[in-house]
Amino acid sequence: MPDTNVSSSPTTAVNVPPVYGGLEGPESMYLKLISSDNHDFVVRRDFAINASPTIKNMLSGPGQYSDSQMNEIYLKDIPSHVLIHVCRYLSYRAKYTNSSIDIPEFPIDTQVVLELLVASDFLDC
Amino acid sequence: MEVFLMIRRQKLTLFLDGKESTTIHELKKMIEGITKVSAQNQRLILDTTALDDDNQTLSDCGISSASKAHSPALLYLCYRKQGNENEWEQPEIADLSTPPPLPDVFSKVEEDKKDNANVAS
Repeated sequence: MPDTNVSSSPTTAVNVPPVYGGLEGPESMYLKLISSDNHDFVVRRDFAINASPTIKNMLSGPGQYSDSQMNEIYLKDIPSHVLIHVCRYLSYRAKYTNSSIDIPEFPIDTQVVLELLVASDFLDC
Repeated sequence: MEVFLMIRRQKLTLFLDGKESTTIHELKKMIEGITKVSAQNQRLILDTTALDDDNQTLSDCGISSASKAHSPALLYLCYRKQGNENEWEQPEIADLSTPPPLPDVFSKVEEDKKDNANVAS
């Protein structure tokens, strides 16, 4: 069922489409990010791809069949307590990019900030 | 207004978003799309209250747009027990890993950073 507003800037279109997206296929609505300790985090595909060129390349680069078929990305260097902050950031960025309303501060625990820096360097976002 | 949710069960966390007017049923359908578990076999729990009325909206359950993108509302998910139609599993989530202890130098670094910022400007 095609979406009526076909805008090329996905950051403004945060409307939830009526189709209930799943995890299959190359155009699935969701991606699964797997941490080093095997925690699964499911996030919206467009949020992840817009924020991180690394994730985008992992999905379209060589060996693409296994990754894009399953839509799972193994982040074996990122532990779960860091990946959960990364996922929060993905939705935060998607919501507030190009936004005219006041942007609230993104809270980060001091405990995780160093590892979060390493992760963000890896993900390039 | 958009509402952001974090739905957790054992080792799985789903980051979903919807509107204040999204019903519990629609949310379960979204979860079904991802987990392949039928909506009837899912139970969502907010704090300690089970959200069993499928026709309630998220705002009815007290989930407002106060749950921002960076601090989503937390819901627990549990599945119906196999073989026993009326029993649900206990809501439990696997603990996340713990961060390593911060070096003592860290608290000093923050003060230095503030000084540097003044100097740079």
